[in-house]
Amino acid sequence: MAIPALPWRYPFQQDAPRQRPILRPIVSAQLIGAEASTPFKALVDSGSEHVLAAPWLISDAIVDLGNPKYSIRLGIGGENPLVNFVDLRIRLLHPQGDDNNFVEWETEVGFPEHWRPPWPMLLGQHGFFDQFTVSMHRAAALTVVEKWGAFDERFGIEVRESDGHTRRGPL
Amino acid sequence: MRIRKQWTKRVSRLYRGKMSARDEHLKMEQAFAECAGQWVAVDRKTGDVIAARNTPYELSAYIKSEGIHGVDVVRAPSEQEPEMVGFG
Repeated sequence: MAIPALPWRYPFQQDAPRQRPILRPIVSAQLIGAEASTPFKALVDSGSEHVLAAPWLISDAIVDLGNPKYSIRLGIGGENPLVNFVDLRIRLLHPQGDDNNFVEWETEVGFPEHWRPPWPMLLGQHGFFDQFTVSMHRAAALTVVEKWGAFDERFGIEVRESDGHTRRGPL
Repeated sequence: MRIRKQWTKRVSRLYRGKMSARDEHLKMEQAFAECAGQWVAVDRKTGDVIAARNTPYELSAYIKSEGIHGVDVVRAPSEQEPEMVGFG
C-alpha cells in the first residue's frame, strides 16, 4: 500500500491535568541508528534550534557516540548538560499508519547527559523545521506537517538560505 | 505499585488476545492517574494505552520481544511533576 501523501495531521496530546487541560504538539517518530528504535512520541518545539533525544535511545537504536560530530553545553531547564551530536536518520511516522508508513531524513541529533521530559525526542528548527512546513492550531488541536515548499506556495515568501539550508520544494 | 503491576499484566493479557475490546484499554488521560510516572505504549490509531513499564528500557524490550507494531512510547507524567515550559 502506498504511503499517504503529506499533509499529515497529528492531534495534540493531552498532558497531565493541571489548572486547565494542557495540550502538546506531538508527532510520531523513530530514530534509526544501527537498528531502528522503538517508535515514540516527539515534541515539536519551534523554539529549539536542535533535535535532541533521550539517552535511552542510544542503546535502543544502537547509536555510536564514540566519535561525536561535536559536543556543546546547552542551557536546559536551568542546567548546562553536555550534549553530543551525531548524524542519524529520523523517521516521521504517519499518525494513523503502521510502522511502514514514514518519511525519513538525515540530520544532527543531540544526546544530553540527562533527560527529564516525558517525550523521548524534541524536534527543533535544524533537523525538523528545515524539512517540512509545520502548522499548529490551538482550536483545532492539530499539528499539520506539509512538504517543505508549502509555506512558499501559500505566502509567496522566499525562504532565506542564510543557514545553508537548501530549498526542497518548488517556489 | 501493586496496582500498577496488576494493571500491566491485565493489559498484556488483553493484547495477547489480539486487542479485543477497546473499552478494556486505558486512554492516555486515564494513564495519568493509573500509571503516572511510568512509560507507556500508546496505540497510534486508537490512542489506547496497551502496556506500561517503569523504564523505557523495559517497555522497549517488551514491545520488541512481543513484536508489537503501531505504538508510540512516551512517559505519562505525574500530576505532582512541575508543568514543563519549553524544554524543562
